[in-house]
Amino acid sequence: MSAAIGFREGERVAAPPPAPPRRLRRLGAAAWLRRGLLAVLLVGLAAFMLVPLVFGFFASVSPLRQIVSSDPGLLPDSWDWSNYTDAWTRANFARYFVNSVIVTFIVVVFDTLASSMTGYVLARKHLPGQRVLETVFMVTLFIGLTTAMLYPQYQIARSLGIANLLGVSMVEYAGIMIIHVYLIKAFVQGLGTEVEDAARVDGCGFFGTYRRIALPLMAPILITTIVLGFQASWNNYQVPLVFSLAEPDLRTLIVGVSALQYDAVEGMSAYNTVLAGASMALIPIVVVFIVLQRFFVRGWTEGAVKG
Amino acid sequence: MLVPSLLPYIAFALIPVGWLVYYSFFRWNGFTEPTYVGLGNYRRVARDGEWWESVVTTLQFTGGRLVLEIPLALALAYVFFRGVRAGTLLRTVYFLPYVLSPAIIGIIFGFLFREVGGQFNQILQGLSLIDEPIKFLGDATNALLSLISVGVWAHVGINMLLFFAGMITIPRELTESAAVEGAGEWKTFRYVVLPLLMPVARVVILISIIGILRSFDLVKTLTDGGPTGATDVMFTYIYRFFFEPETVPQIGYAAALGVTASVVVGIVSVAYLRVVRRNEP
Repeated sequence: MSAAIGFREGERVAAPPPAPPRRLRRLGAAAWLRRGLLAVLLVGLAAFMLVPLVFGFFASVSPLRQIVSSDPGLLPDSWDWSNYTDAWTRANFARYFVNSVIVTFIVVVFDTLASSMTGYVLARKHLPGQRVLETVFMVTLFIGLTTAMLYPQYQIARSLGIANLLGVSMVEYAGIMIIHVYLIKAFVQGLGTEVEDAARVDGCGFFGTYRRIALPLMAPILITTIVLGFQASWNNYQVPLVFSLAEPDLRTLIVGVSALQYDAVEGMSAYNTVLAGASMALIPIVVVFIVLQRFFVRGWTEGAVKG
Repeated sequence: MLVPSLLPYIAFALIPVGWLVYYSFFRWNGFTEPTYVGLGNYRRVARDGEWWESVVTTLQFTGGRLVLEIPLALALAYVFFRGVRAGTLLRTVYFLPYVLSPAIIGIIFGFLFREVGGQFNQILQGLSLIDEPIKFLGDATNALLSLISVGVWAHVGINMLLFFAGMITIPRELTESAAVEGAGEWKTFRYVVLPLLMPVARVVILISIIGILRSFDLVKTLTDGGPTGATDVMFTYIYRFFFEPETVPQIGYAAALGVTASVVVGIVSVAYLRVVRRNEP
């Protein structure tokens, strides 16, 4: 029964029909009260989720002297977009933004190609040692030394000569690939093999079948992994943080904002620039989320249910 | 065809694990020659009071988050499962904070939580709920509570969504027949929906526990372990020994801490699974 229908029934009970039995009417009133209370709670919670972001945004367009005063009020005294232009030009955020775009782009493209190949192979071939490989995948997933691994990851990237944005991308990829490979593998196992078999009969090799037949069929799950990969990479803090310690030019937006915040706490830079930067880091993901929200929802629910 | 994903996996997921375990038996500052010290680092971990305080803080943070987050997420999921107007829009709003960068969330809340001129204090004072501004981040207990609140704010949406996804697989006939037999909302939830949701809920809670125990980003940018280390969690504590040392980096000791942290996460996960298994009918 749909929500709207349920709601209208409640209304009908509440509207007094000719000579209603007393008990029914009182129930109706109680139900109305409950509904009203629930609506207030739900809307209140929604406001609670949005208000911090709105305040953060307001502060990012407020003049600095307002932000640092002891009684700044909640709304901007005047809308001052110069915080954004300052962050963009003086605080090097143009550079950080480009870095974020590069890293996210590499992660998403590489993830789509590499993980789909691996997931496809694991689903369709029965390689010797496949069991062992999958067990090792699971073990590394659950050992999860996460933050503690940053130091060796950076050292290894340096010795491979990729202590740069490519290295950042590869370390981030290593962190997300296992779940993505499993999502793709489970999806491919759910597909029938008829079309692929036909292609094989027509002389398509294994890789050819993957590229021409299977890859297009994987589109739904790949949209999911692309969205998850985008989120993971755009929001990643730890990996670019460690890679940029010695080389600030490698900072992504997120790291750039946090570096500026440390300066702000110590009085060396301005909080309005920090918040303008923070908004710049949030706006792309919010836009992508609003446009592609059903894929986010599907990605996360599939990831947890199957993972 | 496996090579493109196996190369980064081996270089940046597999080898670093072995690397950490290996160097956890050495004393090393990252520059000079490492010296083998056997279990010396682990003996030091056992005696490191600040470390175990950070473990306790991590567990408090985890417990506080779960106690608030899971019931709230369950209640919301059930409300949406029963159907409300604009359910999709509300779910989107509740889920939104989860897609944002935790590091940036920490920075924004750090700003809103300020003692002087902070938006939250202004609102509370404006409503005359408090006389003096609250030290949201300046006091050990408050700082932990602030961390927990922001964590709940950011994560309640994903848990709600996962519970909701589990609930909509429950056949409608079951809840409808419960309604026909006169079960109210609470009884329907408690005796029909919740038991059927348990397999999903167990996984969701386990994933939450592991994720919270591994927290870093939010804590680093919101309190950075402050005031004076009171809100250090395991991984912010470890990070300092690698990258923000007081004198020189202590790589070997940090590696031993990392291995220990991994063991702590393992123990908590296994303990959780034991408890839920025992309570299974």
